[in-house]
Amino acid sequence: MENKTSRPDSIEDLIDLLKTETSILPTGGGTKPALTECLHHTTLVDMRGISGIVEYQSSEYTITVKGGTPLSEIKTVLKENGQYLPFDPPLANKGATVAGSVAAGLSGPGAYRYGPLKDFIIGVRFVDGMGNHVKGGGKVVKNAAGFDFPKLFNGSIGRLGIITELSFKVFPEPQAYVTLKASFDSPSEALAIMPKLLGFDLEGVELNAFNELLLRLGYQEPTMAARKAGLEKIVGRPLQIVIGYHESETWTAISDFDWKQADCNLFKTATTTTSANQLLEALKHQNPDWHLSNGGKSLYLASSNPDFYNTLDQELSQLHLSGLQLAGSSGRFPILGKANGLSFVNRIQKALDPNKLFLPFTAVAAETAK
Amino acid sequence: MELLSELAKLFPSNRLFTKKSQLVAYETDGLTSFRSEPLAVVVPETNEEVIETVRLCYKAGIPFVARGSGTSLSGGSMPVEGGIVITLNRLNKILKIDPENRYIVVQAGTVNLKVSQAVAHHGLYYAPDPSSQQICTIGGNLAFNSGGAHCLKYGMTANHVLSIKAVLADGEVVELGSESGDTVGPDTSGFFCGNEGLFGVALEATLRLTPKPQRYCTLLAAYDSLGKAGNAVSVVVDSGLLPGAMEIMDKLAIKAAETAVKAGYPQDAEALLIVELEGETEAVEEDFKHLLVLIKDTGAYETRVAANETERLTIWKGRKSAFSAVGRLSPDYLVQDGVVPRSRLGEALVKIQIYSKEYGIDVANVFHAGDGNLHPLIMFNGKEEGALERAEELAGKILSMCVNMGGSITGEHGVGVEKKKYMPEMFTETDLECMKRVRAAMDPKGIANRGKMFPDGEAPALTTIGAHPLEKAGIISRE
Repeated sequence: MENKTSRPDSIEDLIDLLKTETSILPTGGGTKPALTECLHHTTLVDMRGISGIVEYQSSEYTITVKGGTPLSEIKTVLKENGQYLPFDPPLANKGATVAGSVAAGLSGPGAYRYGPLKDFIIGVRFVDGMGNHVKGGGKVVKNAAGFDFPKLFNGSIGRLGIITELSFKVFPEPQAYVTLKASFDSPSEALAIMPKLLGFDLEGVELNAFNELLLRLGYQEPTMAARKAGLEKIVGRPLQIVIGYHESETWTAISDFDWKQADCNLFKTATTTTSANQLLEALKHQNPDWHLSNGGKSLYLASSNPDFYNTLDQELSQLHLSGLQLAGSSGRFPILGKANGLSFVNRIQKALDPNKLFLPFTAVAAETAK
Repeated sequence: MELLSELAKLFPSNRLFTKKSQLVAYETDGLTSFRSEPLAVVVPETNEEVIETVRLCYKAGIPFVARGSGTSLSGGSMPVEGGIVITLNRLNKILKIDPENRYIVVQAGTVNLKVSQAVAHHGLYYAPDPSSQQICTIGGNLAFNSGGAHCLKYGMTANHVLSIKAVLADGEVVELGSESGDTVGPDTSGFFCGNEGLFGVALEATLRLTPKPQRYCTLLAAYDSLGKAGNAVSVVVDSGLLPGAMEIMDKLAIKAAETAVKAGYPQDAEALLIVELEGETEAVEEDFKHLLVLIKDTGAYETRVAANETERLTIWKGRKSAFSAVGRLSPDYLVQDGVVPRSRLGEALVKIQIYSKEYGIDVANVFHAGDGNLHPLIMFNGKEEGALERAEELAGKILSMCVNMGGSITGEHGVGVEKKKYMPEMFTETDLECMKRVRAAMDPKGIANRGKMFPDGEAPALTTIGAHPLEKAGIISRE
């Protein structure tokens, strides 16, 4: 049975919709389908009707956009001015919206340089469970007034309110990139290198399942030879240079999760280099596809084995880690492993949505429509 | 009183203060214009003592405020009249350092600078650097989401806190976030930052450590007008460079700094601009060449480049002393930390000059130009009748101007008691109601730092008692 879907075109329509529904889950481009699995009677609210750039002045290093705006549109506008979203949200080419990226709490490989989404989200407007249109944060890069709702909505998975508008800090983007590549015999060998890259201003540090370490640098002609030599000293082996089309394709493929097979279950886990290594070891016998992103902070795992959710859930709990299912259908709550601060979140949810219009932060959503 | 006798069972007499002579030291914080007397002060040495104190307060319905070194500039750590002050300075242990994964776990009473000192030998530091970092504590930084001079590039405290262990106002202990630099589920540790003590008390925090830049390149440029310095900031920003810090001082601030520390600043300048680039040696040196070319075309009549670390520190010394130095020019002063969009900095400064003339009150300006964070120092003589009130009124006008320009009433000091009446200029009744509902969910009795942040509720009377003793000693400053 298909869920009912509504597509409001204005905030007023959205607020009216809330008055008539009993269970709601916002959706965007549908690029993270595991996050929009829900109960039979839940109405999916397609937010792509509330879209567009609200305010952008490149010299302010800030941009304000409506929630349903496609990431690709934002990236294009910023690029015209030599800027980018430094947290590098993934799936832009697949139709992801900005509010969907925020609600999923996803940062991409470029987050290595300046930090993840939480470092760049400065303002939010959302509709709470009672139909109030609420503002949190602001539109300037520095602001300490009021509770920090922008941070709260990072990873809110559509359960605390419906994001209608977002403000971000943006930065100048390197005009061109170069990637340096080295192969290792095992993940642990490559992982041992990562902490040593301290002090190098790299734009990305990724490790793929072929044990290839990818280091991305902003291109700056006169310094390339010296920087490469410095990195080779740390890495302890020659680095292969990748430039031009192949270079950009390499990173687009990472952002689009092209390394995994289509239709399998995809999970993100929040790790450190140490815990990523432990988790990979623990899951060895399951042989999942994997990709370690953002210098070891995000380990992505993919598997078509239907039992993988349970195995991963257990291993994450053991290691005190948490994970999020992004793609595939498991009929389960998308947050796995140790979920820190759940009672804190439940208190907030009660305050923002006393009538329980949004889905709960528990596995109650297990019996899905599918 | 029952609460006091319960606290007396929990704390020995040398860690429970109830006498007026003992309480007076806790009546105020860095914002010395406000003061109020607590019922008692407790000095816990363990997390359990903090948790138990909070639970006792909750049971009795008596307000409490947690406090570190009391350097808040918004009255945030000032006691609630008749409430309990929980001082956290003795909870100052570093619990774990993990250089490989770049984090440190500390107790809330740990002094900010101690964090950087503890990890310096690993080539790491803790990026948020409020100017009181020599004595302010992580718990306070976290409660007020403190900033510093490097926020455009590095963000504020919330960006550097990975996880938090806290006791909520009703006594529940929660753990938020994880050691990972990535998050799953709502960013609860980020949301806890900046709660101004209204949710409860942070006990421990896991902080993200940043690699020390390989190289700093610093320049000082002198201009014959504030406008030219402001435009130079726009030129740098539009060029695609991302400085770690960009600071501007006006004539009055330059004069004060020069008198105080003899930094050797050009004395006839109407404005000084400091720009600092930092990062990987080769890349930064190349960028710095580009910066020098840009600055040459901005009309600076003198440009100095720090040739070594000593010269760099001399440039910064004057800037960092500017606040305490202004104290020499005026018996009293107020400082605000409103934010305007950077492109409107010039306009904001002109308006401040107009207000200054209108009120006949001198205002010196030192500001974090990179992020639009103003720090107007409003000078007055507290002995003159009504002078403080007029200075407050002028400060309020500046805050309203910031909001009208699309900025914020506070960039880094927090709302506290000082700016709570300006919250409705920035947020609608709906926004504030929503915040209050969240606050009530954390603190159903409204006992945690009662009377702060929200515009309603009683505000203590303004008084003038001059600068904070530590400020007079030059250890802290109001920025």
